[in-house]
Amino acid sequence: MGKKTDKKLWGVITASSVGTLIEWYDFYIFGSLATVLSTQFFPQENPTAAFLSTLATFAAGFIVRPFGALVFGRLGDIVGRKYTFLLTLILMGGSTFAIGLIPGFATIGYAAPVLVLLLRLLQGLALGGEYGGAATYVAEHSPAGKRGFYTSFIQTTATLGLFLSLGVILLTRNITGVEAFGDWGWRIPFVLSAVLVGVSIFIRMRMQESPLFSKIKAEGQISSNPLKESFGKKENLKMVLLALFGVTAGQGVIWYTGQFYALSFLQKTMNVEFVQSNYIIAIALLIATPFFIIFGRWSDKVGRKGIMLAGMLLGVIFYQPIYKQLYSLADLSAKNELTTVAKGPETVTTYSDATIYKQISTRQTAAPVSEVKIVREVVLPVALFWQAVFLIAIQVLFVTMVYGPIAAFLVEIFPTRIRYTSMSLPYHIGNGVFGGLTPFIATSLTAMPGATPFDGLWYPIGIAAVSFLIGLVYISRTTHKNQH
Amino acid sequence: MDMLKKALGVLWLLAGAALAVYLPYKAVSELTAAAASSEDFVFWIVITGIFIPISVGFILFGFYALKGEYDAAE
Repeated sequence: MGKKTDKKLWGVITASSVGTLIEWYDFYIFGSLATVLSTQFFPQENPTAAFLSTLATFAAGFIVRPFGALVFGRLGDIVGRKYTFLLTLILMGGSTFAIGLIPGFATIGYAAPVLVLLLRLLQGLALGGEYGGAATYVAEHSPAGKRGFYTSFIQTTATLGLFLSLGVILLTRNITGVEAFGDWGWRIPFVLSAVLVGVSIFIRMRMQESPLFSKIKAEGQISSNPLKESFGKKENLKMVLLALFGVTAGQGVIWYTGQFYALSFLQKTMNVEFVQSNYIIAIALLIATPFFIIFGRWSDKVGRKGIMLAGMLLGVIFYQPIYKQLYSLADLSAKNELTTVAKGPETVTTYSDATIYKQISTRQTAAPVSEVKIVREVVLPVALFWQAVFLIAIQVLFVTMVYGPIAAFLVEIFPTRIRYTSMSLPYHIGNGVFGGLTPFIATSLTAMPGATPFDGLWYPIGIAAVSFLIGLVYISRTTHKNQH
Repeated sequence: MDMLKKALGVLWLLAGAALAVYLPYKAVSELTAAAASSEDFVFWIVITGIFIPISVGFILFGFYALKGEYDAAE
């Protein structure tokens, strides 16, 4: 490959990756700031607002994302990749920026939650169209033997988007202070999106259409109805189903368990303090992120299937022991208590291994019946903090195995004329639905009578095991028939 | 291997059918409970609305496997 072509390819990768990273950032800040947003827009004491909040949480992730995959996938296969994923970027950035400007429930009443809900749905729609476009665009610029390596940069964006959102939120909270952040500081990460998206649009505008798409367009081979061709023809539909059940469903649960369920487990099951738990996740993400590229590159040499299925199998085998070890780090019943100091509503207990446990009791007089709310916080000592980082980083490593090569895999099993549509739907059902439901289903499993804190893991373990079996038996070398 | 693909196809077909029946049953039993809230309604409508088409897809996947669509010759 010549230097000029190489430079152009890196330009394509940068333009695509930066935009996709910003879209993930936009999508995650809403989730990360859910508590603040609920007080601003969805007060829980108001049943209608609480209903809209639930709708925003579930509908955006589970219904609108696959729907966005269909809408923008079709557009991308007819109009082209470049303009479609430029549109999704504008839609996502505009929605995020607008959320940052909406006055709260106290100022404009029900208009506030309704507007936020609509904008959140637009975010889900845009995200559904973005990933397939970016992955397809990069893959169609890459030489066949290096698709795993070049598309792996797109694969880092979801994790880096989460990392960026955590970083911006923690930094803004630090600068404004906790109280001001709750009042108005939370708007900064949303408004900042406009700057990031502006830069990304500028970069993407300068890019050219994918060469493979331009070629089929020049030859008059563009599909007139990509939806019908993708899902109405058996030859393609069977590959969509194989991609969903044999790869993306397993990938989705591994992805969400290693990053989101891990954070939820740290905060809700282990009661690890908010900032410390976010640092644990952020550091683990940073340590493991290069492996997206390592496994993507390796998949060019040894094949995609083995690496992705190994990631699933490792999750199936090691989730239970990893989470049991993680839980033991903050298990106060197994530690020796040194001192307990009570000061007003706060009680602080120190343990022999330097773990600190804080319990803050507050009486909720606003509730219909006066009740005591207890907040529990565990602060891990340095040694245990790093053990937690290690245990999360292992899980993110599994994520990099299943996720690093997946864009190249999906691109290669579908033909150019319907690629955007065909790969976007299984990806967003696998990642968005199977993966996105992990925290909810896992939490409901642990809440069942007689359940242990580890019973929630049976959901990702079960889905990953089925996906592994389907992938192992049904995916063959002939699956990748569209490598050119 | 082709025999295994077909045999497992029966399993996927049955599992998909079981899920398609179980989900609406579970949703109705949850939503007719006295403690059901409006949030439960959203959750179960979304879950059944999205998982029933997925279970139909799983049945179809099993059917294709059983018919030999994923066999080496194909």
